[in-house]
Amino acid sequence: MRTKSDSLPLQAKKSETIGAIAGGIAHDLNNILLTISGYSEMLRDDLPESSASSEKAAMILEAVSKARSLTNHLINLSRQSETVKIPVRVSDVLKETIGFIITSFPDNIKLRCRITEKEAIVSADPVQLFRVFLNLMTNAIRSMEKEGGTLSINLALMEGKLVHKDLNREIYADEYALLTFSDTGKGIEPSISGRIFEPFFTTREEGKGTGLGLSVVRGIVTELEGDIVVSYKKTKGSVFSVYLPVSGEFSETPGEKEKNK
Amino acid sequence: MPGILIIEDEIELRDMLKLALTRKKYKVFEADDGRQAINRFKPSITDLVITDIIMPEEDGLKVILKLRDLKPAIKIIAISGGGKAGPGSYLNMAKALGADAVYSKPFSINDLIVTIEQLLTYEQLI
Repeated sequence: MRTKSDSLPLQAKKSETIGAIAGGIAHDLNNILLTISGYSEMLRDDLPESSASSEKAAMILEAVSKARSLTNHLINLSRQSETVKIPVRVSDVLKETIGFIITSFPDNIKLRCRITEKEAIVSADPVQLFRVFLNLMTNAIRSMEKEGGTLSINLALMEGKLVHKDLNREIYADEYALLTFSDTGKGIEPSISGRIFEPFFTTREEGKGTGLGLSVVRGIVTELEGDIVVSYKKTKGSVFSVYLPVSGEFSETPGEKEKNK
Repeated sequence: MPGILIIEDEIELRDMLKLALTRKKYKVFEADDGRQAINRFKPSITDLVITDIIMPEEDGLKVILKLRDLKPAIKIIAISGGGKAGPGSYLNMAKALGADAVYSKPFSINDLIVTIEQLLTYEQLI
């Protein structure tokens, strides 16, 4: 389980492991339960209605139904361990993600990071936010790994009405944290730009990518009532812009206050 | 009699589904996983497919897309016991990709049979 002292990469790893174990058990149990309930239903149908044996088959089905609520509970528990929305300082998560990725940064790629609004707070699960930033940075690096280039990350604040103008969509906050991840890589073909957020869509060779990264990123951002858009040039680079509604107050724990003094 | 292809990697479960459907006089074909299903798929004699989602080799979501390409009118029922994201997420995705009906394991076999009858009756009417 998550503790305050864990770093975000470690939290991400832990919750992923817990989720995978719980989900795997639930999946296998549900398969077994279906086999039991299926044969029990056939048995009940074969037996004379209201006979003692038919009632026994009905009891098996009742037990299966109880076991099913247990597997649901298991899945819900693993989900809860994964997503807890709390006030999060976007710049903190961004810095932590950069700190995590910087050790494996290729020599031929430069990183520029400009944080003009370091106090922007959003209501989010920091682990999920970490996943969003890590995914976008990894994609940007991958697009430049052969030729080299520059990854520029910006974090700024944007008024809600300007976001409305930019995106032409309903807005949920007076202010948004706007993060842009710009690369100078190979860019995106216009013919595929509409599909990059689709599940299983990938431009990587078979077996190298699941095609789930950007669809997961979009799912997380949408869940936060934010948005993600991409702008690109055919031959040079792409810019992913993430809009996150700024909300709530950041309440530091006594320990954190002490640390930040 | 209509032909139904069951794609499921758990053999005990596949055997149970096969028995439940052959009792209703359906002609049943089986596949261990998505890749085998696509290789063995015979559009002319298969009217409906029941596919699991999480399987080794090719998963059920990719299978749905490929089956729709091979036979646009095929009826598809997706079944899932979940995984990390829970059955709901996978089944919502299956529905979005074109499954006609979805079931979260464990489900009632009699309910499944009613859905199969409805899907295949509708098929005969149009």
